[in-house]
Amino acid sequence: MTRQAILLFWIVLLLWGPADAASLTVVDDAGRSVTLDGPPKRIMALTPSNTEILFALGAEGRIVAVDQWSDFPPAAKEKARIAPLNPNLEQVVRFNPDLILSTHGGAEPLLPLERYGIRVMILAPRTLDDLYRNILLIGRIVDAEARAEGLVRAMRQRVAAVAAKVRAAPRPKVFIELDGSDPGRPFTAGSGSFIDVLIGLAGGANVAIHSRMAWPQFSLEELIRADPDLIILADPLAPLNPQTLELAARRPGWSRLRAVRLGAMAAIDSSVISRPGPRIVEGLELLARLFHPDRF
Amino acid sequence: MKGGWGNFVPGIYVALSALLLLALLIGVMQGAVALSPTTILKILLRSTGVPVGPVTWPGADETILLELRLPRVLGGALVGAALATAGVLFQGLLRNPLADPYIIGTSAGAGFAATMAILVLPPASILGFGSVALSAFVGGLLAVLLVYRLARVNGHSSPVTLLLAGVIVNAVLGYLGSLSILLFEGSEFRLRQVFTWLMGGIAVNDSRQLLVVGPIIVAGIIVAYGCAVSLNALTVGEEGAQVLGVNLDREAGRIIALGALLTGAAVSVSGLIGFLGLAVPHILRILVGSDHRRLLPTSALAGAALLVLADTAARSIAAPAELPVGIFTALLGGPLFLFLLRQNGRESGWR
Repeated sequence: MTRQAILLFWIVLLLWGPADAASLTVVDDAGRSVTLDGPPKRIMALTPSNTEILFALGAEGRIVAVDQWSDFPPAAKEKARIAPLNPNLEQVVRFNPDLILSTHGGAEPLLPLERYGIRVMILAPRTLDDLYRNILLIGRIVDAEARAEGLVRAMRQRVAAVAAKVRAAPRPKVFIELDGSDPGRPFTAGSGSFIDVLIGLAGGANVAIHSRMAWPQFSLEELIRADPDLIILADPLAPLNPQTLELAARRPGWSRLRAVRLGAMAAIDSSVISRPGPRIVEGLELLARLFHPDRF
Repeated sequence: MKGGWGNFVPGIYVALSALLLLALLIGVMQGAVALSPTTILKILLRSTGVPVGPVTWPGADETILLELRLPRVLGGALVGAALATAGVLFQGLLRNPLADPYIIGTSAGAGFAATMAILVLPPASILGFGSVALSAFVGGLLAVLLVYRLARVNGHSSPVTLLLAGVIVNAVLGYLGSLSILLFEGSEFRLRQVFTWLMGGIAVNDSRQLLVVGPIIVAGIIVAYGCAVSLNALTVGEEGAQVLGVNLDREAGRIIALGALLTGAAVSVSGLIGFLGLAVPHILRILVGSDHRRLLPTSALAGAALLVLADTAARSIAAPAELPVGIFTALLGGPLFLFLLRQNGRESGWR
């Protein structure tokens, strides 16, 4: 009787065991528990950063669709595309994904699809540590743990190298413009934004640090008063327009800014600083070189 | 004259002028950076060549006051006056208390054109006007023209057809604007920029803009005053107006053109500022009655003061961030309007 019970116990455990081992429960950045029945084979990446992480982990073969802004690496452009802000649920279901990686705002409309076994994860890192954790998490999900660990290790090393170089250097005051389509009310990165964190790590002082919003439209009066040492134009269209710096220098009031007078202005490709993915270290190094040209 | 305080009309002019002056003063003093009245006075005198002794303020303050704040405060006053005047014109012409400066298509036309400009045009500028401002101006006027043409049946356009054509064109263009946002593949900040433009913000950051917009608005307000008698005649209805010898079609065309020009000029430097053009005429109708000879100039003064105050709040409250001014026109104007409406025993001044 006892022996039979023990046998039964082992049989049940053996039957459950494999199923248990394959399923994985993780917690996303929205604090939601997401249970995957097994390693996902058909993933939809609805932010450029998620796409870049999957590619960096060698999991691009599992991507069935990306959002319209995913353009790196170039092979990402060959994937099918989904509108990330207002996704067509029928189209999403048609792709038959088993996991959707998205962010706040983009993911919520998709949550009803969990009924059909489509798991949705909200990834919205606010710091580099959040980002490392997300990369390791995705690595675990797609069976690329070792690769994810290697990637995070390399990123940490590059971040530490930047920190070592800029440590004890004077911090230049920096203004970073993320959208200048209305030059009278440029968008910048305030406290609580990923870009503000990057500016700090790269050894700069963000002039918009006192703004209580993550993405404020910055006051030109405050810009004149703060008189930054360096102005970075990271409008997505900026690098495409050779006249960007010249046009910005001619804006009302800008001629008296120290950065404009000394030519301390730069136009950069915003995707390396605005996407919390593996390339963020490139963005960090780029910023650090701009802030401290003498140290690199 | 009906309407609560109509007997104190000269006092109202004095009070509103004082309010506008006070608003302008607060407007130039407050902002992301506070400036004292003496510093302001000294900077102003110095800029005109008057010797004022040693410079005791940071050089940046001079740029802030002369190149950024003063143009913006004056721009706010002009836009407020223009929107309030256009509101009076359209409410009077259409004899509809819900009419506002945008009712016959300006907002949707300007909004659609500005949305497209923000999403696809590179930044460029003519006379200080960016591509967005110019697109908004042209888009607003084209939409009004479209509404006017659509509403003209057998060479005649009635207020009802104008209203309906305006509502429909507003809706269709509004949805086209939303559609273009959804189809747009670009940065998220472009979409935010569209969103805040649609909520309004005085974006006069080049004094040359004032040299273009200022004369249009001032002339428009003066010409609008000339329409006061026809608008008064219209308060007794179309037939009544005709009996009084008003050539309705000619007057309607003139008033629409005037309102559209005022609104278009305003929108080009301010985005879509809602509520002000609706509420200010009602507030003044309660205060001075429904005679358009008083309603038009007092509304212009009050609109100017209200928008300067609202813009000051928008610039200062979350500094160094700026907020859309449309939020503050509603927050300042709404409670004021409701207070006056209730004080006057539900007499809104409409007869």
